[in-house]
Amino acid sequence: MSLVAGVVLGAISIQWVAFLVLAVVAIAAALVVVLHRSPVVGAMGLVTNFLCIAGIYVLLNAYFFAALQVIIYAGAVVVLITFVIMLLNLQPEAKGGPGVVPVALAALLGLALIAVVGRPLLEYAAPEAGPPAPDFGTVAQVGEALFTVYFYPFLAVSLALLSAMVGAVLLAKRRLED
Amino acid sequence: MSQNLLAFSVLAALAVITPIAILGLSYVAGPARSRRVTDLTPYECGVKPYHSARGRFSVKFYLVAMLFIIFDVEAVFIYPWARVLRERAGTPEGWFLFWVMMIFLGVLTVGFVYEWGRGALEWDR
Amino acid sequence: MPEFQHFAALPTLVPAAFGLVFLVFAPFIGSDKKWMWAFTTAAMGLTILIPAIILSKIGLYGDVLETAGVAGQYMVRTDRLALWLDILFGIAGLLALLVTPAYLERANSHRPEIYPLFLIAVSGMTAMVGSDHLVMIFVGLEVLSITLYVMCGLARERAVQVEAALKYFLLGAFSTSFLVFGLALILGATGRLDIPGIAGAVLGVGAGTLWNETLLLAGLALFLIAFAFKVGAVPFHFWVPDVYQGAPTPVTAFMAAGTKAAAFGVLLRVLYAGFSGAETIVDRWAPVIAGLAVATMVVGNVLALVQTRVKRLLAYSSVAHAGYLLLALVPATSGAHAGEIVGGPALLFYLFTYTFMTVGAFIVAALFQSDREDADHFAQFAGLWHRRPLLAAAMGVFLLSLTGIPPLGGFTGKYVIFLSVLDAGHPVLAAIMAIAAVIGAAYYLRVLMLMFIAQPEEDLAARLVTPGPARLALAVAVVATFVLGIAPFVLYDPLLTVMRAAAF
Repeated sequence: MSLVAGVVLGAISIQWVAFLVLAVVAIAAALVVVLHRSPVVGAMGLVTNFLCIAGIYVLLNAYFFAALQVIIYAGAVVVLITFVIMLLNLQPEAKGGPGVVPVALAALLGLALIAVVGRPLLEYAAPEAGPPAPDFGTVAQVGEALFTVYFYPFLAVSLALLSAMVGAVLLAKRRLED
Repeated sequence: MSQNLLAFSVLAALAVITPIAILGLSYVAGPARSRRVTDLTPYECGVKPYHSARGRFSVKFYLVAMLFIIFDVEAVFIYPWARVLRERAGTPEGWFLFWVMMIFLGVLTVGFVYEWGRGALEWDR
Repeated sequence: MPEFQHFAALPTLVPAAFGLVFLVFAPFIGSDKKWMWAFTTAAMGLTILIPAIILSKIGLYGDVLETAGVAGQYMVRTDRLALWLDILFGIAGLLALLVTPAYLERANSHRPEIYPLFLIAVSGMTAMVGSDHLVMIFVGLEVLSITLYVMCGLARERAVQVEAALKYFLLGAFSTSFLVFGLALILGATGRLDIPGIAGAVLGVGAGTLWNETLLLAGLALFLIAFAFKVGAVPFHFWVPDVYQGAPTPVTAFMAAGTKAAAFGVLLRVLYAGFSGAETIVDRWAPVIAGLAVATMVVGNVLALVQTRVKRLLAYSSVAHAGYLLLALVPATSGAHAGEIVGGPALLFYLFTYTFMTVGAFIVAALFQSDREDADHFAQFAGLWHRRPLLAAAMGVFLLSLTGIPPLGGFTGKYVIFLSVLDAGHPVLAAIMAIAAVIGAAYYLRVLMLMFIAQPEEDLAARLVTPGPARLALAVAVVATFVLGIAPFVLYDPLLTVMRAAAF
């Protein structure tokens, strides 16, 4: 109740509430991806997670990246993942799986990583940033950076895409005409 | 910013409400059917008339999806490029931008020619 | 428009361009066409020649980070470190290419794609080491890694190759996620992703500002995990034996030498130019490198003792060698060079000797390839001396060099690393290195005894053919191993001045 009151009174910004909701849902969805036994439910969890991340990009004024996140990740990549699930005819995981010790160890290591990364973030004294530049996160600004400063890595990415293409054909094409 | 956020919130709310409304309306307004399984299955003795909806897919679909993603990523890069290029058309900087994208597309065209040659664009029988 | 000194990008552009041209032709030519191989070999020769010419223009001696040219904002930075490593990638690629046709024929695997993919992988390596910007390093690493995943699984009819490709891909993608997370944290801690900017932030000079030290160290730790995976350091080595065993042997040879050199080149550049200088930071990562090195040397050598296949044995030997190379990265903690990586020249020198001896050994293993699953089993090597004395002698040279027997390159390489570790003030680490090398001698000697003393079980001579190009590659590798052992100064002197004159 106090959260709503805070928003109404203007003490808590609507962005902060939106971030809180998106972050909690994103983490919950990520847990579904890892923990749920059915791979299809896992894939749906992944979509939810990607959409929440896109929402966080919007809160950061990175509109173009939010759009990319939805088009490429929540769209194309999850379609591909669903295809793989159908291709392999994956069934819900059988009970059992890894024993308690490996899971506990993995959880411990994961929590340790969160602690190591999280602690400095709590005490992080961010540089006083003013409001972002008016064109921040727009298509024009992204294009500006991508095709001037980062044009070299951008071109190298095309080589990586090319290799991936060759690999897809070589490994997934049923009959290769030799 | 807050105006954008408001528009976005309205859109998001609509996106959530619409499917719920569609499903709910058809549930409420649709013709009532018997919920008993035996009433819904066709009469057939011995053979089960249905099986799991999870058929196994051919790897051919995967290859198409994979190639789609790569060209999807390529198309996504063209949009900011076009946006930046428009402001600089004709200047030396504009030509530089133009050729950067042409090289990028050229590399991916090599991949396209390769796929064509390997027959990856044809549907295996 | 970005500043662009065209020739600075040539070591990357040339192999990439040739790779693209050949890839267009790959699907349209028959499997037995020799011209694709011939042109690829010529292009690979060119990728050795170009950095060599640039290096001779700016002079062999001088600051390692003195640039011949910068393109973009540190995106391409062709300095002496990059040029030396570019030459090394070309050599590894060329030697592997020389044996590839013979291997493909014996393995009955005909995919002309392997040739352009070799060139694209080399361009990824040169892009990685020839950059001062972590974004470019990341993209170069991805070009290299994706190309290698494909090359590992090229003959998908063989289950072992598909297993190798899949394992390498899954674990590689996993390690990449660590790298990206690490880069994000480094960016958050310093606001920069170019190495000079990070160095400025670490030292508190220049434009960079260090907002949070813990965040920087966490980012560096994730970065190190990713690269420890790429070089196959313990405890990130589990993929190495399976992938080295399963991949086509020329690709294994190329991977063992080239990927390792590229990853160590980046580690050297990032740690040396980015994270050295401030002792508080160095004191944090130096023990990590030392610990990784010790674990890698010991575990690699001990696990190699129980192997029964030559490719697996060489894989574990490669893990052990990653340990020696990591040891060269441990900075001095006290003395005149405190906080500096004094082992830099030794590391580069050892990468060169390692390339010749390990690629040579894998070439011999490639010649044993047949349709049989146990083609590289120890039993196949028994009595090689009695049937093919020259081949046995060449393999003997490579194995003795890997052991570290004078007067071969492997000995001088280990010796300079040993000295630099002592120089850095770590006598205990040097002692562990010596012990690990002695353990390692046991398994190399086992293969040697088998080759030279045991009697052949089957008629090897009938199965083994050594075509001309493979003979040339073996001859080059043997001669280079001897030259680097007898006259190490031809390479070590330039490298030494290169690192010592450095500004950091």
